[in-house]
Amino acid sequence: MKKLIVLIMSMFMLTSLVGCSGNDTPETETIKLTFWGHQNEAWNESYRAIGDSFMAENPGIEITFEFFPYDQFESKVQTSLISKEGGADMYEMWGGWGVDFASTGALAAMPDDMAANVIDQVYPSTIGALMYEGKLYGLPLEFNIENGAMLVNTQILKDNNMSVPTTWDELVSAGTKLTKIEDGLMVQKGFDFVNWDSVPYMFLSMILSTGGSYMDANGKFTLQTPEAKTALQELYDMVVVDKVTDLEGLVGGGDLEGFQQLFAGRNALVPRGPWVISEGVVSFGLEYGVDFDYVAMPWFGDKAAFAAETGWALSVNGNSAQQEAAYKFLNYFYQDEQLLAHNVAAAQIPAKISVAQDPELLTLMPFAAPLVGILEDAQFIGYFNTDQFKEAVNNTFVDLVMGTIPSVDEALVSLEEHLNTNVAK
Amino acid sequence: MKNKKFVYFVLIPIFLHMLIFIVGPIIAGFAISMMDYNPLRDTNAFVGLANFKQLIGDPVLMKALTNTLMFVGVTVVLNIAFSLMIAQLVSIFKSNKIRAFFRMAFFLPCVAPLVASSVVWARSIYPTATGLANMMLKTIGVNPVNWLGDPNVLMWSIIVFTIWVDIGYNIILFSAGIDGIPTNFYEAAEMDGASAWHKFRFITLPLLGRTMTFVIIMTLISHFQMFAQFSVMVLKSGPQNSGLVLTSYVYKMAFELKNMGYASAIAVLLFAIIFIITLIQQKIQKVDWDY
Repeated sequence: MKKLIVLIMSMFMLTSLVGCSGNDTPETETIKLTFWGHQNEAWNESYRAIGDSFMAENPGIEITFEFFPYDQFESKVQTSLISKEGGADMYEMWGGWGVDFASTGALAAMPDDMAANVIDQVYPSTIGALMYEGKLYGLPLEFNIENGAMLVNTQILKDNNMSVPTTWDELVSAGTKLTKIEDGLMVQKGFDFVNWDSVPYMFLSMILSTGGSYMDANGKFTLQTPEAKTALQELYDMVVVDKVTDLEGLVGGGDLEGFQQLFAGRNALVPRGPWVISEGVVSFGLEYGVDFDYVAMPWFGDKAAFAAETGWALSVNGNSAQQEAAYKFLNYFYQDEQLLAHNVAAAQIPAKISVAQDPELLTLMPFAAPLVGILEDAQFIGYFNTDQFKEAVNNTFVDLVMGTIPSVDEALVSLEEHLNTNVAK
Repeated sequence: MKNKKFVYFVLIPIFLHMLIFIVGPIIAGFAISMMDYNPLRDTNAFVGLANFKQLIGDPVLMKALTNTLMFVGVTVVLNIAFSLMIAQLVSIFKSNKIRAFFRMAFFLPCVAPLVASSVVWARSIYPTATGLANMMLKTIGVNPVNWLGDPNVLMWSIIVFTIWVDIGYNIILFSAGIDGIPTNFYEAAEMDGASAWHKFRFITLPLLGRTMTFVIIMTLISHFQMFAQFSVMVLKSGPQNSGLVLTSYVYKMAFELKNMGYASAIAVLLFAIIFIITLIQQKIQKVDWDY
């Protein structure tokens, strides 16, 4: 009986070994990549379309796209990078997060040859926050711009027989004339620049456009300068003296954001980035160029100059086993043809110089006209947490306007000290 | 003996649950509060009590603490006063159907998710230009108020909302307590000629002692931990940090600034405050009677 069992077992093993040895031509395994981004229909379709064309050219690589609601996206990215397991191979990455993630080793550095090309071919502000110790940790997709242009409610201007202001003085004067106050309530804001992004960006742009600077070579904030004082005084005067708007955009109490109020017919002029335009068309059913416009905003000083932070980019997970394939996809994405298609679909100002200067861009995205000519005038805002920076500037501005800080000089001393203690790296 | 073994056996899952999901995180929180902790880093330095020392000199924390104590103090007192008053008024009705109707009506806001109620109030009732509150003020000739943007008004606006949204739960508890008081006490008092106030003061209130203790402790704890309405109704931290409470400061430090060591130190402070207040409150309101 024992012999019989040994015989059967031997036959079984032999058959198994023959079966294994018969597989002498190993199949090429498909490399599977995952991509995480935030939910935005136009953006998501664009990623998928570029992914499909990449996979058609690279049959050995398969990409799965997963998109999450924006308010969950950052925490999902963070949690997956912390756990060092699971998560995605590639992430859509906000530039500001790069400051937090790159220094921890959570992201994979871009291969040197590809990085050298990218650094050479994009606007400096689009990679500033993605750089760490000479390495690049993301492929920039967009030029994040909050300066140089503003939304205009054309009907309000028409009703008041006014044209689009072209100088700073005209802008302030128009803001005052277009503001309406009834029973102590500002029911229409002429020039609503008071919001989380615009106050800090305008403050920096006003300093730079008058020939000043806000940071020294050692990365320390220097705000006790004549240019900073003039800039903050002007911002204060526009709210308190000229009454072009109020503090609602920073302290709260409104039902809509300033640009949404413009789309709802309650604000005349609002400086914001071009990303708000689609909301006017899609959510408010307005026609671009008819109901509202996006035009060049006058500079405070005698030259165009502004600071910009790093916008949306694509990064590779530092713990991914497929970094090479992931960077192959990013390299494919980086071609002018793909980037142009994506920037237009996502209504982003391009990060890559050749795409931004491509005449076809303005044909496909006419609202970019006021911006593409000033991209060279930008400087990277600085390697620090921009949320903390904006909070400090906005809190100081609110305190100044509310009278808690008695003067512009004291506001600048306090702001400079706070920024150098808590924000400067 | 066999019975005891069985009891221990069936209690194992709940003890395991407590250990893993309650005791474990508390210990982890204490540990993280003594570290310069950024979850993205491979190594996080032990800093001892440095985060707690930083608490002492942090003016924003002081503001958050003041706001929290003010919010909890006012909402808990008003919540209990109103809910007790309403429960007493509802108990006057003899018909069970009418009492059930009022209890359901007051309980309705508790059923809706707090976030959803907060959005409705922030977008429909409180907006300065288009909100219901200012429209009503306008009809009586009063100038509009910036309910969520004026640092002197913001916290009161949230207090009003919180009382509206949270009062129903305590009304149900007090109603149950009042219904449980034997009617012979009231009949005896009536025979002695006691007024409605005297019956409430000398019968209802003392005999609601156990319910009252439970309601106060649970309301205190839940109001110290309130976060959703501050997150939804307050823009950032509110003007001059007037809408910042300890829970929102913990969130801001941990998830916006990724300073989880300091955030844990604030959470430990919040834990200590709730723990001490609960102990004091339990000592004061010790109930050792029965009816």
